[in-house]
Amino acid sequence: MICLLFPLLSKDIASTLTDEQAVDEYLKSQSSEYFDLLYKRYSPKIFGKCVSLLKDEARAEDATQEIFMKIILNLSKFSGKSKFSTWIYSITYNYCIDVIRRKKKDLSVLVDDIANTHDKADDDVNEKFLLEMNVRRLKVVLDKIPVTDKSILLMKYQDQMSIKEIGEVMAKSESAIKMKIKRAKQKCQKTHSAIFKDD
Amino acid sequence: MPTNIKNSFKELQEEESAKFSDHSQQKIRSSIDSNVGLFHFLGEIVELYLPKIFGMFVKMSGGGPSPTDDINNPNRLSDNDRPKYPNTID
Repeated sequence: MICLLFPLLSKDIASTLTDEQAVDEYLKSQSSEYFDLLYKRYSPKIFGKCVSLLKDEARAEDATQEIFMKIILNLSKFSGKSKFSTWIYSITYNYCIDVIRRKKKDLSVLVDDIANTHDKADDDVNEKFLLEMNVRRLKVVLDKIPVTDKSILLMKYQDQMSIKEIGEVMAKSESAIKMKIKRAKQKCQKTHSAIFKDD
Repeated sequence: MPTNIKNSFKELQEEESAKFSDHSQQKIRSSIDSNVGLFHFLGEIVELYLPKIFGMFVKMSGGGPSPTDDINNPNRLSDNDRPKYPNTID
């Protein structure tokens, strides 16, 4: 009876672990139970991000698999300096941005970033405007702006990452990230106005 | 950012995460398991055979243990018979 109950009991204990504790336990024991816990917690979110960035469910499935392979192979490199969620989201965003740049040869991402450095950055966009936008419209608008801007907005408003954390993911200074967020918000507003100008 | 205000980004995340079916989740999980299994298998193969391959290359390049070190060799000099200073002329 105890033998029958033990797996259930250990699963309950495992599910109460924090991400960082699960990582430690996995590295110590190499037991798939701990990796399973992390997989169940994060795979839907990672898949959602991949769908959002790659705009294709089949490619998002492949990307999710690749990202988890990267995670499992590099788990020992996770130092615990940042949150585990920040670490895996950084792998996800960087992977998706790389895929888009590589496969589509989407030079417009880079060109757009350079071309818009002289935008009128003083026009501050109201955060409320973005947060309260209709979800359908938000999806359309986010699909129209460059992938780096979209990623930054997702990190800030979806993953609630701090400026410092976003800076670590994008390998940029905090002031550069603040400026990028400002410009991304402006692009969202301009795109929204252009697409939904009749409303 | 207060949590009680509406956040369309969160709603969008929930909508897109919901597209991840149980079937896809299981499929990806089993692919990861088989890939990890393959990596472990390759790792074990390398661990098992790499020293032997390395030894083979050493032998092919003329290296290897000195014949005088072979204990079963009848011509092997005992430690007392070996010159104390092998590089000097007696």
